[in-house]
Amino acid sequence: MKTVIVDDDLTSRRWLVGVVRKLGFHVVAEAANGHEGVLVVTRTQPDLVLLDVSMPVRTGPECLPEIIAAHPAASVVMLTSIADEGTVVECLDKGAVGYLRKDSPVETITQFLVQLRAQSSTPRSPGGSHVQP
Amino acid sequence: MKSEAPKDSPSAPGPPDAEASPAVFDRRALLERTLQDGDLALAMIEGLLGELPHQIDTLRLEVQSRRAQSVAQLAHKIRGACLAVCAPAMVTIATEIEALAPLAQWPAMTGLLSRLEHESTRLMAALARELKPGPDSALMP
Repeated sequence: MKTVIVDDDLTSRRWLVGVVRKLGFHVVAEAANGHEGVLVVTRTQPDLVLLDVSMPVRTGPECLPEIIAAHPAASVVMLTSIADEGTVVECLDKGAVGYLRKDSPVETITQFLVQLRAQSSTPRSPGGSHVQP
Repeated sequence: MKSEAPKDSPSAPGPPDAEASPAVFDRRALLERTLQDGDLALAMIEGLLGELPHQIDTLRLEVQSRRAQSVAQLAHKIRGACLAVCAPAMVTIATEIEALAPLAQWPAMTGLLSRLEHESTRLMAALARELKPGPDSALMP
């Protein structure tokens, strides 16, 4: 599964890259803010985008519509470190397929991603479906 | 019967060569978080050690300049990085700073910043030990 990781924090990015690679995902690009995120998604056309909510330059929710417009087939999962229900609901309404709290146990995160990959290999139902951790 | 005081609370300075308590850096939690990948854990530690000093310096300047939004963003970023490497004491203080920033509670923020600076010194010392081969590190191959 071609994956792009968009997160302003280098340490978190390294962690996410390492974990998703262990699951057999192929990380094709990383970005440190929403603006870069839109550019790399447009260029790489990934299957999965892990998109941090809180970032400088442009936040995840701000660039989410552009990312989806640039590559509608991509599954976009929001990354958040706090239970920001308002932001999560907003992003799901805008087309994100799910969200991950970065402070979740790693097993929760890996199970979520494996489930998402399984869902992605089947045709999407009208209106989409959301994966929750 | 003697009761022993905690040797290593988040705010108490310890000797520089002391084994870090899990409150400062939880090596076991980091290994769990990296699915027992020591190389990944070391790469994360190197990333944090490269960025944290500059982030703390910038945060100090932003607090002095009373730029609430920038303080909140920086505290959030420090929180995320420390969460990733399993440094709970730093996470706690950064979370408090992030919460206080929009309220513009600058005197309280200055105190928290001092705690954060102190704790970051302990954390960086603990993480630097992980990069040196020897009995203190279970991460080095």
